[in-house]
Amino acid sequence: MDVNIEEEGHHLKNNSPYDMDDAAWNAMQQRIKLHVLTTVQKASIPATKPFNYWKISTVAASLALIITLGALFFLHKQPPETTHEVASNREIHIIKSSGNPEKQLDNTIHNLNEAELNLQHQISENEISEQNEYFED
Amino acid sequence: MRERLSSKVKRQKNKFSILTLQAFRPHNNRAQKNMAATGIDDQIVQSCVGGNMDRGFDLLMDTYGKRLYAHIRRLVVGEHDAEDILQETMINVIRSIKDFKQESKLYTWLYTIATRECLKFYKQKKLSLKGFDDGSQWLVNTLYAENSMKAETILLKFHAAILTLPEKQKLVFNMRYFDELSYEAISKITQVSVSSLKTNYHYAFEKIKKQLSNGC
Repeated sequence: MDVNIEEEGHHLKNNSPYDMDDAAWNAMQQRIKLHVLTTVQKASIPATKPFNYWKISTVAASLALIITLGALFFLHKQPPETTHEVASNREIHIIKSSGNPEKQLDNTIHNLNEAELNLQHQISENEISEQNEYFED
Repeated sequence: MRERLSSKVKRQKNKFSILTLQAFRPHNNRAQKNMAATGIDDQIVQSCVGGNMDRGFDLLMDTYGKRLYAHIRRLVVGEHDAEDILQETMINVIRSIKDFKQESKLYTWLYTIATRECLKFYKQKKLSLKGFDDGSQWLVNTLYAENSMKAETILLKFHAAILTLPEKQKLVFNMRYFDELSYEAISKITQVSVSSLKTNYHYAFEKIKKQLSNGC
């Protein structure tokens, strides 16, 4: 069967296979209303989240890690004078713990044999002569 | 004598062209109603934003519900699908009505949301319809399945022809022919230029005309 869209225009425009009677429409409207208002209300209430211990422990562990890394970084960045001071203090401490340095030198000289004493004497004399030459120049 | 005759013929020609134009031009009654509905628009927005959601929803559905449903139904065909999409449209509308700037009409805005939901449905269906070569064939099958005894054959053929149109043509034809929206309003809804819409409407009209005159 042929249909002329221009002749049947009014009929085609004003009738539809999708028409719905009022009762069905009202029922659908109520269903939609209930669902829409419930959904919108639910969305407007902030959701309460359960208290998670693992999240807190993760935060604490990461904080501790940050602090440790920070401390290491600052130690590494310390100026060399401070390191030197620490070293010299340690030497003083060692010297102090082993007694008077003059006494230590005496003891060492006393323990040397003849050959060693001669050698030591020669080295000292050479050093003194070299120093004198330097000053004369 | 000749001049008289030629002027008579010209007048008749003009009369004929005006008549044919009127036959194709959508009736302006509904369009005028749209224009006058701005007072209701304010009431709807104020009720929804002011916390009286219940009243706002009722006003919205009473004013635009049926037309929106018809628009959705013409695009997705299935009764349950259309209800789901109308529901989703209404949720989006109620949620974002506070952001609605009254630069455009509420009806245009509602149409935009509803059309977007329908296009989303098309995408989902195209993904799930592996057995069909074309999504429109599935829509036509749904149309015949849901209206096996109820609707007239002419109406079914007409709507089946609309469903076989490409997406853009289908959208513009439905909004222009049934809802009598202006090309400017359709352009706002679909984000397609007016000239392109006019061409698409023309092609759609010709295709349907041809399909119906061939007896489908």
